[in-house]
Amino acid sequence: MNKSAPNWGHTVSVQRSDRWSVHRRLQELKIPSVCPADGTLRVRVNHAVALMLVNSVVRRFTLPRQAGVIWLERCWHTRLPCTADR
Amino acid sequence: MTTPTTQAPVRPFGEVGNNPVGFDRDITTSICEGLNLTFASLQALSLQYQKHHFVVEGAEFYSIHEFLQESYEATRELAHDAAERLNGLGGIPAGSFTTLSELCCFTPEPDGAFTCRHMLESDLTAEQAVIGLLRRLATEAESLGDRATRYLYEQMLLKTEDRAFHLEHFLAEDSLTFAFTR
Repeated sequence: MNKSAPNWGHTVSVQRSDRWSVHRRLQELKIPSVCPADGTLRVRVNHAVALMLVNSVVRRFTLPRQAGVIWLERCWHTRLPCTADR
Repeated sequence: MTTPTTQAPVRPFGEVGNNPVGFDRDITTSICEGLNLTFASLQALSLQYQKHHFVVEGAEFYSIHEFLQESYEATRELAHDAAERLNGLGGIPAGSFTTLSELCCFTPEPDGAFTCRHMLESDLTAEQAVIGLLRRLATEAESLGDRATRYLYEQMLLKTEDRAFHLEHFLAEDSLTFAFTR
């Protein structure tokens, strides 16, 4: 389907002033997204990792700073085995 | 009421043209959208201040009436600066009430006159929304390498935060008149 089609991908709920910044970050992560003329941000997600990445990028723009700090602190103190270290 | 002649626009709203200062269009498209959000929000804020200037009354009438006039003139001037830069970068400022309303970053106060305190609180809420918008857009402009737009936003931010300080001072629960504080 063409990216300019009105029902391409899924609409992501972000403020209009943030949509281009979110779009650019998603482009860097190779996740297809568009900013159509209606002021929305539309994203195409085909697997779980991409969905988590979209969620992570959007959180950066929607969460208050303090909530972001608490989230990062939790990540920092979470002890999960990382297979890449083995 | 007369109906304007229907003619196709030379360039439709939202389409960004070339610019003489060397920015690629993928940058100016988002910068121009941000400037339009700013323009619409400042226009709406100016109209709200202007209504408050017309209808305000009460013991502090004159000083608040004057402050509201200064504020609607100041916000209109900032809106003008945003639209000038927007056009310079190849964009078209929003011109219809429908589009301005869609782009405005806060919900303007409903029609009607309210108490003086309520009106100033509405103005402060609107200013706080504009401050948030300007901060986000200044960061975006910086990240895209558009230093002049970032500089413009930061100048606007300084003036907008000043108006917010003044509004908060008007709303403070303090007075030299004993009856108001005891």
